Amino acid sequence: MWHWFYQFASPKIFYLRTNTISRWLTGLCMFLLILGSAAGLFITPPDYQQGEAVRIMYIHVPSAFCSLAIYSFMTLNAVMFLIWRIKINDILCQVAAPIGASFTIIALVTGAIWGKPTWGTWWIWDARLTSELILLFIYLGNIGLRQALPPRNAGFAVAIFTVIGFVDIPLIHYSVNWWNTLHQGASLSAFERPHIAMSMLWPLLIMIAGFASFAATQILSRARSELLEREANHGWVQEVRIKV
Amino acid sequence: MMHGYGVYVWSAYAFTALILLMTVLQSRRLRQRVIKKILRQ
Repeated sequence: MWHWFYQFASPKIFYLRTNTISRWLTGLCMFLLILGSAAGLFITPPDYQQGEAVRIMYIHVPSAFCSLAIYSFMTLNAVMFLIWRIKINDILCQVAAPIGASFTIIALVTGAIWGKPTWGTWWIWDARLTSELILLFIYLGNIGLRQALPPRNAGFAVAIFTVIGFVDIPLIHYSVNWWNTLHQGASLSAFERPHIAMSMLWPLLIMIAGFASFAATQILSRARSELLEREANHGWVQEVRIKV
Repeated sequence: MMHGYGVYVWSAYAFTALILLMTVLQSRRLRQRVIKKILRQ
């Protein structure tokens, strides 16, 4: 199993194998997003306190989850790049940043839209909201730093920046426990029973899977393009260019 | 449906769809730019 995994460090094998994976993920992503959106908008019941506004949860929670998950994924790749200097890890770290920033923007904007009818305000300098906003700035700083530096040095500097920026991830996750916040505590946990009715839980889980598969398809698609660009002068690119 | 809150719900979904669509289009544009560059070589 590990041998199969290690092979992905080879640019050529990564490019060829992710082609099939991308196609399957795209189909899965479309199915999950259509099913989850339809369920979230039309099938699930309104909340007894929030009414219909609760339907925003089916996009807000998955996008917030993806904003944290993508940054964690970037950090993992940054650490692997710093240790082993594998080119693919640097590419994955690079292409995931704009995708993660997009999900952070969605989480912040949908959160504001949800906040107005439920809290009575679009924004408050609450620990959860502020730490999520800081995550957006970290993503933007990450993208800006890579563009500002020459390609030869960018990978190393961005990897260090990414690892330092990871400090914000546990801050966001535990902010609702460590401080008194207007934002509610976690409804879903890996180790506890969910504090959410089953009729609302299943569409939420489908949307989380849909958003995660969307992120994966986009990261893979951009990584493949970036890989072709960086390796344009290598023999294997000339071999596969007949297929593109 | 969605008495009173419809505008909030639909705005949130429309904004999300817009950002996801822009992400997909940006990925496609990047891919086409790279393919053109390789084919020119």
